[in-house]
Amino acid sequence: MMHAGWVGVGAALSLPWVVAILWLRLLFPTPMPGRWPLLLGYGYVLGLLVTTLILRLQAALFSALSLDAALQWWPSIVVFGCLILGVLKFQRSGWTVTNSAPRRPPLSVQPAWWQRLLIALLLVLLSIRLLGLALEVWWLPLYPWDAWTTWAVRAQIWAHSQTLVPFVGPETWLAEPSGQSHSILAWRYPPAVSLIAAWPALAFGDWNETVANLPWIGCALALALGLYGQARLWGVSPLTGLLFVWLLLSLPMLGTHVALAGYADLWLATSLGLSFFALMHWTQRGDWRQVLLAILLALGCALIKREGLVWMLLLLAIIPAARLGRGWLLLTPTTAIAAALAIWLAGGIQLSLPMLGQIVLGPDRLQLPGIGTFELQSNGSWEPVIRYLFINNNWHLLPLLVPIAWVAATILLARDMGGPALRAGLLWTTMALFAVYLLFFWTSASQWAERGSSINRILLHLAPALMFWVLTIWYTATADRENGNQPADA
Amino acid sequence: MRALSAAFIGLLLTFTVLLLVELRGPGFPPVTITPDQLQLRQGKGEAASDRLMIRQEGANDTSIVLARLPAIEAHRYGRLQWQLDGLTDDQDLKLLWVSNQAPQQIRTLLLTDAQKQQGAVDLTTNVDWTGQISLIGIAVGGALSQPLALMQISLIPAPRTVAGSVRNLLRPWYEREPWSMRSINYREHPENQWQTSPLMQATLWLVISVGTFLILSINVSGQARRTVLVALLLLAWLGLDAQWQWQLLTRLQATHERHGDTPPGMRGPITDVDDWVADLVGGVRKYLRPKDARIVLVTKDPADHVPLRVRYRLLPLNVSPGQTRLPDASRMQAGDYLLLIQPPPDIRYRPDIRVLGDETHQVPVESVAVMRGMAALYRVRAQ
Repeated sequence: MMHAGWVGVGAALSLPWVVAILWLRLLFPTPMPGRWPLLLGYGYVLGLLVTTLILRLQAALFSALSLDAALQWWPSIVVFGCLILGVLKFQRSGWTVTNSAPRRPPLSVQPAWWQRLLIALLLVLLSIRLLGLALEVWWLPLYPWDAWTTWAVRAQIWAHSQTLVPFVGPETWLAEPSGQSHSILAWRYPPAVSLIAAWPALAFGDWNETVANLPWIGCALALALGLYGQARLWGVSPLTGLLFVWLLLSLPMLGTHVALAGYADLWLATSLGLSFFALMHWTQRGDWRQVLLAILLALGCALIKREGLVWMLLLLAIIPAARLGRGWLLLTPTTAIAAALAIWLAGGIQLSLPMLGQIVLGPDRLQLPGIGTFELQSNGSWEPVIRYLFINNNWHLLPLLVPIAWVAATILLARDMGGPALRAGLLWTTMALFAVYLLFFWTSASQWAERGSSINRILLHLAPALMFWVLTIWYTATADRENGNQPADA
Repeated sequence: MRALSAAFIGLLLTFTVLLLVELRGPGFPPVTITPDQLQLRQGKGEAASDRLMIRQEGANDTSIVLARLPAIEAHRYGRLQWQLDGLTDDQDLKLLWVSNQAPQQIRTLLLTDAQKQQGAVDLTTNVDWTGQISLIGIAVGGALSQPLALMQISLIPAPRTVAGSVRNLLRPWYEREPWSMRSINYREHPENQWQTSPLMQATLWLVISVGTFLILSINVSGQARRTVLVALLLLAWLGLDAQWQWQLLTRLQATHERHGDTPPGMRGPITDVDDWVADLVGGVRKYLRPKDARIVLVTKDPADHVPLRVRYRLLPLNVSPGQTRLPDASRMQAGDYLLLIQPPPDIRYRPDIRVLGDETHQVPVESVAVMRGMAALYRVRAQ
């Protein structure tokens, strides 16, 4: 007999999704290729991220009103019910979104037989992969290290107590004899991923590792749908779109983070990826709905992990960069390097900003509010990079593909092809990879690289964005000739 | 046709290069396990500088000696040798090892009289001698009429042959590797030989094939050339993904065998990996009253697997993340618990004055439970 809690789990995972889809549908009312995959993919991630915010708000309200069981799941369900009523009211009133951004012409050519065959093959490959990963999530109890040392510890305690019990550092925990707080070593990490795991468990009525892991398989599916939807909106054929989805889902490190559910990195990779896809659309065609999606998901990155704040800032940096011409694009990094050199020669700068705290940019230390302090010294090694990227099969051939794409993008840029998206993509990729280089070659994080515990997860954050970036370069370079289409903005 | 030729030439050249590297490259040195690395796990005896003495058999008339290894590749070592004095004809000798192919299972091989006399065994044809070996040892069955002296155990590299080298090159494509409870960011554990890495093999094939095709297709149009180059890239990618998909299927099969029978609503923490931790936690739980008391976990290595698993299994009780020293008594209050899991050696309980102390701190406690060799639980008394 089915446990009654499974109905609750179904509702907990589907209601935020449905609500987000309905609201996003208001933004994208017109049928076009890729719209539904986009709505489904973005809806899932945004729905669950909003759920974590609602839970935090609910906990704060209950606490202010001195009510018990602040994390019961039904008040949030009521909120979602209200949000559905709200969106239906909007729809009935005939409210609609206007968008002046140019649309790509729909594909007019029917796929040839060999294309249909390849599409079928790719669908089979993707189905096998996703089904296998889903079964692994279903059967395997909570397995990976950080999941049961960090993320699920908080989730389990919150699910059991039905309150947002505070987590503090070990010293503070010892100093509080009341026992009202709990402690983990990574107590400063944002609560969103633990709340995502706790949410279905709250609906289930008890802590259950299978239930807590379920959102992870949805996250992988959402990433695939989001990529496919945005690829189709970009103008590529169904075959090319599916091919890039397969390339992304085939990455062993990504598959591992799905199968061994419980880490935060898959969520960060998905949020960052979806944000990047949307931002690329906005840079190319100025579609304000896409920049709205990009900003929401960039903020989501900061909710998920502390590194997310860095990725969010880098994403936001390309918004003005996309508006710059080629000359400015060269001038900006040159100016940035010159400024960094001047700061280094001057011995560094130190700023205290209200609300944010202290910023230190020095030759031996980097301190950024909300991110952390890094002692700077050249102590990295290429050996772990080569081992984890080019010898161990963690990324298939992506580490080979990215430099090729970078060279191709530079050549296209020199030929003035590809439009602002090419510039923005190249700038973001360069900055992101430079940030990774800085982290693993100039800070104490190099020891994580040598131990291999960090380098792959950081690259996982970037993988979906890099894959979409390669797609845009491919599209620019080939103009999707297989369908007789030309890139609209090239 | 040019593309197929390039792919085929690429395959031949790749195979030739890899085979030459495998045959002529640096070999593997013998692995010698010295007496200081050997641990007498069952039975009584002592270690000297040049030998491990086994003076008395353990439970079931069996003496067991084990040694941890830095995860050596089984197929690279075909022969095992040992030097054991004092073994009589009526005593059994078994070889024991643990492979990452079945981390929860100890493999055994009963040695023949001839092997016992030779002090060596050929393992190249043993089907269980596979994967990465992390633990190895011997078990002596039968009462000891005289002490046994174990001088060393050695693993001798397999001789390099063409057939063996081909197998070594292809093995990573079909050898299964189970999920690891280490950080999931170490997805695989390839041996330290680049030529056996599927990724390196596929990359080498791709580079040679692309180079060959470019030479063969000087007169071909740019678009056709690009299509072939992309097709070669996708073919290499597909090959790598086929290997990964096969790995995923074997891992899924193993997961199903281990956990598929448990209804999802009943599924608790994983048990087959750390069942003794589960027993320990079950033993500790029954003493914890009230349920909301604070539990300070003290262990010599808070980042080690065992204290972390104990902490996770004790949830949702309020357990600290683990610390290496006793807390200051002023930070504790009556009713708090101190749980020692593999604690530092200088922590001592003095029953005469009911105090738990180390070099710097003394905490008044009462002993609640002791799980010998594993853990101890104390309740803090009022000061």
